[in-house]
Amino acid sequence: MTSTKKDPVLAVLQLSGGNDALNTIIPYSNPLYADNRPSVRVSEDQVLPINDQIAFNPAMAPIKELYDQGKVAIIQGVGYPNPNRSHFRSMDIWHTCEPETVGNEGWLGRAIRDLDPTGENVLTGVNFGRGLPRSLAAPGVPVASVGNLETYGVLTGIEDDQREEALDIFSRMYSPAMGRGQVMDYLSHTGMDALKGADILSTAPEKYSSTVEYGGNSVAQYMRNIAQTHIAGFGTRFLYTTAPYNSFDTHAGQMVGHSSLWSEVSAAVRDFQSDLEENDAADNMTLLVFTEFGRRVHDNGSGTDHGSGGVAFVIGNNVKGGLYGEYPSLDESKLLEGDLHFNNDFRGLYSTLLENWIGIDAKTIVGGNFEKMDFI
Amino acid sequence: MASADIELMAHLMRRAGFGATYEELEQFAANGYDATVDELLSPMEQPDLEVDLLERYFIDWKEMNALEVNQAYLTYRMINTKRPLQEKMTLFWHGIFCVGNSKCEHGAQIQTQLNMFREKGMGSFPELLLALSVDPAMVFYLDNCMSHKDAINENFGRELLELFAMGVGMDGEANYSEEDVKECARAFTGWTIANAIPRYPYGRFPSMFAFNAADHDYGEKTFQGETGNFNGDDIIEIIVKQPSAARFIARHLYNFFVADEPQIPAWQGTPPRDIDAIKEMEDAYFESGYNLTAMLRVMFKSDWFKAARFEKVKSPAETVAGTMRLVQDFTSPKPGLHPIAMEIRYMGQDLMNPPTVEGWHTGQEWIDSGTLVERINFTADQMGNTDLPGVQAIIARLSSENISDPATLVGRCLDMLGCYSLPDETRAYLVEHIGKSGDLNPGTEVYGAQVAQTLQLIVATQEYQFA
Amino acid sequence: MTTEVLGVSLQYSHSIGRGEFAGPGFRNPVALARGAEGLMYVLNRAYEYRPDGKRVTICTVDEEYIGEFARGVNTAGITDIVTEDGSLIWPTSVALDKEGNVYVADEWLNRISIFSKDGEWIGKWGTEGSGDGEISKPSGMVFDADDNLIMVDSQNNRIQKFTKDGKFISVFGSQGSGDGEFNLPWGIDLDKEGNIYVADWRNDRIQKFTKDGKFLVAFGTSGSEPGELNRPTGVAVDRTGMIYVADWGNERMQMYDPAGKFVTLTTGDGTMSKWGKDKLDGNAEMWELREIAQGLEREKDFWGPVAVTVDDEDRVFVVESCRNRIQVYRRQEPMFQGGGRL
Repeated sequence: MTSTKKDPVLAVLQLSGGNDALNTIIPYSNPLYADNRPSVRVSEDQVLPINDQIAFNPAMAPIKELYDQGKVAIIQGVGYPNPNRSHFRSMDIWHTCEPETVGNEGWLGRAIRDLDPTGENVLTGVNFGRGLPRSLAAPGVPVASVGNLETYGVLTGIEDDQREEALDIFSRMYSPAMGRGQVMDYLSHTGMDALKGADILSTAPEKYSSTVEYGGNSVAQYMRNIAQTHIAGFGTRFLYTTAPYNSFDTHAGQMVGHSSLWSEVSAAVRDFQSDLEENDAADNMTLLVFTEFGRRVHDNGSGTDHGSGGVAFVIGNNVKGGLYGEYPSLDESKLLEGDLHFNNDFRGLYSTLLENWIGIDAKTIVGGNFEKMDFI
Repeated sequence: MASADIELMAHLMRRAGFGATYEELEQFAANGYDATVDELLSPMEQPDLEVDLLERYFIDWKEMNALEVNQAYLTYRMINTKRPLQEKMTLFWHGIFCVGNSKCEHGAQIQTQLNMFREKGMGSFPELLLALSVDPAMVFYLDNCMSHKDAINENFGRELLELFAMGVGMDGEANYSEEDVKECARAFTGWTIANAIPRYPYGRFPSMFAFNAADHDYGEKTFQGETGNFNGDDIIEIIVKQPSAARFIARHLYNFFVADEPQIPAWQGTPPRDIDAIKEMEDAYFESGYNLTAMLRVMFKSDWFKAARFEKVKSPAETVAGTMRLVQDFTSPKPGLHPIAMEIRYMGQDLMNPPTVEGWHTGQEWIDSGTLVERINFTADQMGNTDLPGVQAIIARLSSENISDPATLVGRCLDMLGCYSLPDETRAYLVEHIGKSGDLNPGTEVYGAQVAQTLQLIVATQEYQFA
Repeated sequence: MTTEVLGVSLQYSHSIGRGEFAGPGFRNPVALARGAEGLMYVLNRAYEYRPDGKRVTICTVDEEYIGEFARGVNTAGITDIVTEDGSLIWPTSVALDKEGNVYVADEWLNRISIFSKDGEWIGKWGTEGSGDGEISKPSGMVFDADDNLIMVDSQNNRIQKFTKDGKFISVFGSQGSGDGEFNLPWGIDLDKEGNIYVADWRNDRIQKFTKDGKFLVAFGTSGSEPGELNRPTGVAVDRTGMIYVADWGNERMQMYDPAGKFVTLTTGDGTMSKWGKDKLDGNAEMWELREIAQGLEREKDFWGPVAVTVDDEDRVFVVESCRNRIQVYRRQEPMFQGGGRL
């Protein structure tokens, strides 16, 4: 495949709810794994070994395939000091890079501002899903949040035969006019931006063709939307989606639930990669898959509760596949309040992506210097 | 055309409440402006919601276990309360005395705090500050439980001065020193919360404030020029006497109820938009012995309030609650409330989970290209739904007024939505559009669709984004 | 805690449950039906944005988890909600017929869903309305000796009797506060003679009727003193005629003699359940946090005691909607004054 000169793009797939690291990349030969997981354990004969110690969850075969092609970096033991077991707070920390104080600017919001300080391209950042994750939020940074790419737009509730004219009126109403004051000017400008963004985005599905058939679940559909938007070439640099709300929060019935979640996610990731390759759009795309925390080492009889020390994945043609960081010890003396102890600061992961992939200085975005990894 | 009385009433109800239907506005106007203000200022004379009934059908509302549950409850309150100003003041304090779900022992504790605002938010300012200082959600959110006599944590002490009661400065001068912050924090040492019962397996238990005398710094402190062995309540007494406290609340009230001001970090150097208005409220504050209702009364009865039409960008909560009140949906318990409450989040106001202790930035900062799309689409979807009672009532009314001329129709639709006005050009676009949609025959089904679409286009205008 | 009044005592046995949206545990449980061989069917109402938590949990009195069935409906976009067979929106009660089939009432759908004892969907009935045989917000349900279903038709303020496949048999009651009138009634039970007891929720009282719907007696008045009631939700009658009332608004369970005279009450004695212990073992530092917790005795207290059920072994089950727990009591020395017999 020929390399393209297109700008590097980062897609982020957020696994909300706290993915259980231990049953994702499984320390299958470690007796402590069996000891701690009397009920929520994947048996040794089912796992997909990476080496003689750790293995993929059997539901992750499609990702294992990409791993075997050298396209997947597994970031082990990723987290931050003084882990917080609240979904909201921990996700906030991952979004804002501020573990000490409550911050309101997202790391990607800052990155978008760095790349496009005047907000020239209203589609530099695009989120798929309702409501903007804090990672993409920063004052003055326009980010489109797309609930459904096929129908995204302004005044979508107006019937088809009337809508074109309604949109025409809208654009006339929002055209800048003299002497209406600064706030009104700002609204005009923002309304026109929204219309422009929607107009451009609405062309993505028609520009797209592919033989890849994604699954019908929302993760798959949003990954497809990300591929469509990327392939359309709108100059979008950050694409983001969150898995269905809190679905990885496997307090109970985990063996069935977690497996089906990973089946969906793994297939979506594989289809995404195939789709980009088919459309010659894989070389400037890297995908980050992360979660706000891992789960308890010990199960609760049916599931696992909130813990720390997660696992993240970086996937793409430019990624140097392999294992990064150390697998956290399961030894009781090494646990932190019954949780895996992180050994990779997520801000180092972000810094690597921002500096070595996107090509911007990470220090002000992640709030300091953190050890980078060499996966890209 | 609506009368001047009704226009004024629409303005009052948008600001002191969450808007009202045209029929309600007529009723209020008939009662008179001053009488309506007085009624708003006496919320306890109006009935509360029927909590037993709500907890029967929304069985989770007894527990308030999750942010989304609490948001649905708060949304329901805003839509249905018969004490709109009380609810508005609750929202007002929630935006100033911020705590967030991202850092709290459990979500129900924020609900407890909002109930405290409902009870004390229109009374005495020192009583409110004292209640805030012993509120478990606040003690936890600003780490006062981590402040010890031998190792103070300044977080609460600082925000009490900077964000809750005084502000960094006014008229170009600082309101307090770094030394004041430390002394204030010392005075609040030992104001803590009891060790919680773990959330598993039976869920959360109410947090309990505790005064730990062994961890309180009983030493001498100098604060705002006064010296003594101050405890937290002494500090509050000193704070509320300061001109800066009066200025702080007056300016917040002005920003929330009258007209958008620059955001709070700019207040030290940027003078108020209307210093005379601020001074009137400051006088009321001191003359009444720090009473908030006294300030509100002066404000709502002033000419500057009455004149400040459409000087504020609506908040997402006002947008959603105001829309639901107009379309008269969710007036009794039913499923489907959660998605309505989530709209407020999508528009950028995750209630009970503000971005930081500084709260939400208001005014035009509510609007970006993403949130504007959410706001327009939500309001237009609701107004376009001719199954909703409020939309039907508007259609029925315009039918009964036999309005068949496009210009009059646009004008009356603007009235029905709260006496909005549009620039001539925009108005002309709408009239032209309706004109093209065929004859207006009141009472027909097509007429209903024409009215609904006019409403949809009006709520999509820039002008409608203002309150 | 053991309370002894008039020779009857209520002995706390154990607690069942923990908070979960799936698997062993409950989420806002609202009703319980006892099956054969120690089986229990617990109806979880959960909440709107977590429809996955709406379900019927099958477990045993000894807290063995068997399984679960039925699912909630995603109500985002309420105008086109899909209410597939067996799905739940606002489930209120559960009852078992003689064969052990499970009937679940839904007060939003005005639908009775029927499942086999293993949770397989086998049927439904219910038509919204106020005519004979039509229903509006069904709440409590109980089967009589003839295997007919007696249902609290709450919004219609009446009690209706149906065959188990939904054919109307009879009706009594109307809106009001007089004898035989109701204000949004909720729970229901029968004594062994077939007399009908109804938790007349908004009238703060229990009413007793003959099996034909003739008013016999009412007891309870608004208040929080012993014997008084604040929005009673559930009622159960044991084989000796003792009456147990879930006094929801007062966060307690009260016991009355067959004449409706107050006997005793409990505000809860909850202890660590088996599933709760599993949960804490998975979160080991919480055992330590419990050691230093202040006010741990609050864990005993009922919170949202919404339903009460008795079985043939004199066990009394109190379902707590907010604690996701069932506290089990046992009536001891069943001797009381006033005409009871064994």
